Amino acid sequence: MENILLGFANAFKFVNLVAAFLSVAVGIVIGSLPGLSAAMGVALLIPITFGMPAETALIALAGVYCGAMYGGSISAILLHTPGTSSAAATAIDGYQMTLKGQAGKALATATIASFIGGILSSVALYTLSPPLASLALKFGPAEYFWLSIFGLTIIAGVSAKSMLKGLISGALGLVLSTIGMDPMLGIPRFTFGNNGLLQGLPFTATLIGLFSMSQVLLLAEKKIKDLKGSREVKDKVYLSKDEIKRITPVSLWSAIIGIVVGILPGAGGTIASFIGYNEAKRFTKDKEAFGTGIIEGVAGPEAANNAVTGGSLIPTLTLGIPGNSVTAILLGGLVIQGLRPGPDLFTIHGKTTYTFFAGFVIVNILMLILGLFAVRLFAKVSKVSDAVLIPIIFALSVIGSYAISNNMLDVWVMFIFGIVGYFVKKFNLNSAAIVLALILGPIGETGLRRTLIMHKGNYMALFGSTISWVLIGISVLSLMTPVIMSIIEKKKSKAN
Amino acid sequence: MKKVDMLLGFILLAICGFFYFMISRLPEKAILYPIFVTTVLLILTLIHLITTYLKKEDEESNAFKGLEIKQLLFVIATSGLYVVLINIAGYVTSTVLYVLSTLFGLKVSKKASALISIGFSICIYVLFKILLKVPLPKGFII
Repeated sequence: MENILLGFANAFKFVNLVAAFLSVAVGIVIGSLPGLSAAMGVALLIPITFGMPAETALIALAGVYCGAMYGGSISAILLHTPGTSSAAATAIDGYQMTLKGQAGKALATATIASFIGGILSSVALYTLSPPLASLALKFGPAEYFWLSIFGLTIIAGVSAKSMLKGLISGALGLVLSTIGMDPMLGIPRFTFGNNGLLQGLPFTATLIGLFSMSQVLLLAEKKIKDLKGSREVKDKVYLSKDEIKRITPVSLWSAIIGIVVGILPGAGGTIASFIGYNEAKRFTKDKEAFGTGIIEGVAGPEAANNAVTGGSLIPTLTLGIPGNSVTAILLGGLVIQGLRPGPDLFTIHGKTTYTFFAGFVIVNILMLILGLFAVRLFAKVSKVSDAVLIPIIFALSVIGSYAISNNMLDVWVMFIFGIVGYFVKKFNLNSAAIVLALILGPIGETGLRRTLIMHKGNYMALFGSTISWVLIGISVLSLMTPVIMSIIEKKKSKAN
Repeated sequence: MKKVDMLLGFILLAICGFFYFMISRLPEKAILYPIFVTTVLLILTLIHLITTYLKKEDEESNAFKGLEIKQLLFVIATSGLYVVLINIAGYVTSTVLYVLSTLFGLKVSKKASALISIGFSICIYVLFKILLKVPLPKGFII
């Protein structure tokens, strides 16, 4: 309890409040611009937060994450084009409300539901993280090896459109993670004599390439659209007491679903919002009205996708397994700040972690305030043309990749990975799995080789503990999930 | 998508080949792990190639159809030139030129292009260099 209160006292420092406010605003803008993603925003922000105190940096990253998750609803409601894929379900009823002249009401619903989702997920963050982190105390090198395998199988198995392509993405990331110094022998691998690559591929530059520059190319391959014809917010951004009563139970239930989906690696905001939408439909008496523009149809997905934010941070901070691309990048930000996921975050670095948690609560409150009072402004920004975004995002990507080590090599790495990231998306591979493999690869390699050295090359040492077997079991299960699901679906359709 | 997937398979094979070649130049005690992960990628690639080969053709979902190729190549080219120019002209000058030429190429009006490129570059300079003290790439100008 003392830690929690201390965290709030620190989070209310002026610099942290400013960081929270600005990052939420930037996040909402990024989220509301169709074509830009939360991952892109967080990747670009990492180098800027490099020089900040760890807690301020983490609050800023969380601010962009939460803001972008919510911001996606603005263009979903006004343009029928979700700003982020997580807001796709919001567009169904949200845009119908706009057509009825209730855009303000739809935006207010999205804001309040997102707030409920975000706050409830922060409760989960406070309560579930410490016990899960203490589990990591029991991990030795062999367990870390299996943990990295588990992280890779689950993200590759669940998130890609095709499991094989998900696994290929993970394997490609593992191959790329061997670039740099051999962790045990100190021999340079695939560095072409370049000292800048001894520490491995420059992580932030690679991320910015994969998520930001690739986005620039995806915008450039399409005909530039004119967004001036989008709808205006004519009514008040306001909900009556009765309406708030109507959306509260739906939002609470969807938020719980969002938290659970967030904790499960590989699922993420898009899946959560569609489940949230369906649950809202199940919860509401007037099911026929869904799809014609009702507030429950907006509240369900929005509460669910913002609840994913806190949920997805739990496995990231405790076990070092990020569930989606944004948390994979956030994990990179954590490591850059010298913090390692696990029990240390709640003991040695308790001050930083609890300040970050309190900051996460503040970020959600600021999101509510900005959403209710400044949404018209954000709506105007969401109409910025792609033609303007293309050079601006690339120029920011250049600064971002240069800033960490003041090295032009990093900028070229970003440029190359921007093109790689573009093809990764075009070939339906999974960028998040590649990033995860870049993070987990060295952990797995060190775990594997340390175990073998400690046991004089005896491979059976990898199977020595119960935790190892549990991790192997759930890795196999995660690979089997798509197969099991398709068998169940087939049986269901036969039964019908 | 079949053709595209076959292309992906061959690109991955080339990547595996490249890494195998590079591994052969490493000292023997350091090759075990890189060989292991490259072989995993190779096996998955071969499975991908075989399953794709056996699949029926479906032309409709080709991800590379209907693209604005000229526009895409223009953006890649200007962006590459921009990175080259930074070391010569400095970040601010090259950013003005890059944003201006890209906006102009993407058919934004002359006046708006000029305003955005200069306004953006000034904002970046003030925000990063002065407020956040983030170093900008240097050149002969600024």
